[in-house]
Amino acid sequence: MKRRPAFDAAALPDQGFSHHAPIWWGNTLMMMIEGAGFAILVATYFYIRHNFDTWPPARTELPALPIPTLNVAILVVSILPMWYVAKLALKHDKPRTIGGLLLLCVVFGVVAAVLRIFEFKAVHTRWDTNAYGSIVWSILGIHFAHILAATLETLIIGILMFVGPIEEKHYVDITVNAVYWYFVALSWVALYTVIFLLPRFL
Amino acid sequence: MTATAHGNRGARDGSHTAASLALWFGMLGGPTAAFLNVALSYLVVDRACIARSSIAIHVFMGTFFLLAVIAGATSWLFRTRAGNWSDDAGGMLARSRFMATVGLLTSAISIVAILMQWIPVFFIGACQGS
Repeated sequence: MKRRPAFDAAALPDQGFSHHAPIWWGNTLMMMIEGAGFAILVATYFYIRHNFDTWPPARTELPALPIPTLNVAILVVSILPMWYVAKLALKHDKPRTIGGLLLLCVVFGVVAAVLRIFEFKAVHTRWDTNAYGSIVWSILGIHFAHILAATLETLIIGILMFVGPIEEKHYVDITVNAVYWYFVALSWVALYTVIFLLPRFL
Repeated sequence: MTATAHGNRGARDGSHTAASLALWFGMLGGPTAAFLNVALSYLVVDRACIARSSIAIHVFMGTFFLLAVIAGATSWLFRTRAGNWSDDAGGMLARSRFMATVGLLTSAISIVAILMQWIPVFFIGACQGS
């Protein structure tokens, strides 16, 4: 009988972090799709720009800066507690500590979502005013959906940390959720620049 | 303007707003249901394992499946009522029809997504993979 090499996989861990986890790849591919969606929106914005003599179009004020700038700062700052949570999850720290910090991130997400409502007013146009209004509201709205989704996911994992049962895979999920949070926060830096800062120079 | 005319305009604006909200529900209700289905099932699956019963998962899946179906039916209703227009035609009715068509498609894909996640629950126990 021919002998075949064999490997006992029983000793290997059930879960792996980062690129060792299938969910990490799923999340990365999803971010690529959503990032491509944002890129298409930005390309549409610049395409529409060419159809107008002035930007923003005539009789439309420049977007206001205070609340949008505050919101982009809040989203960037929210990366810090999320990064710390991911670090604690890698070390399998106490679930209640992780859960508390996740709920802190939820507070950041809720504040960002509330400020987003004011950002719709800050652009000084409506979705049905003209093509400029439509694309600006689309970008704000689609990113708003991302904030809501990331906040809800963080809330659910946060609740899970308090009510249990907690398994190894949940720690992996926390690190993957953190990567998605960074994506939502940092993509807004680019989109904020396009919507609120660039009209001052275009 | 008479009070009756004011009343008529108010009623017309109210029904216009209700129709707009229904169109948006038709378009976003399905994807929202699919997202909530994933997020909330994630929360209950381990509890279902402890309880040795998948009923809670079925309740969530069934509720969100129904929500997506209602969103699809709403879009279908609006699409039928708006009449026959080409997709690039202007005006409120033509735009409503286009929005309802998009709603029908988003609801359809959401219904398929929820079903694809629900079917395994009938065959794979909640403790599988724990």
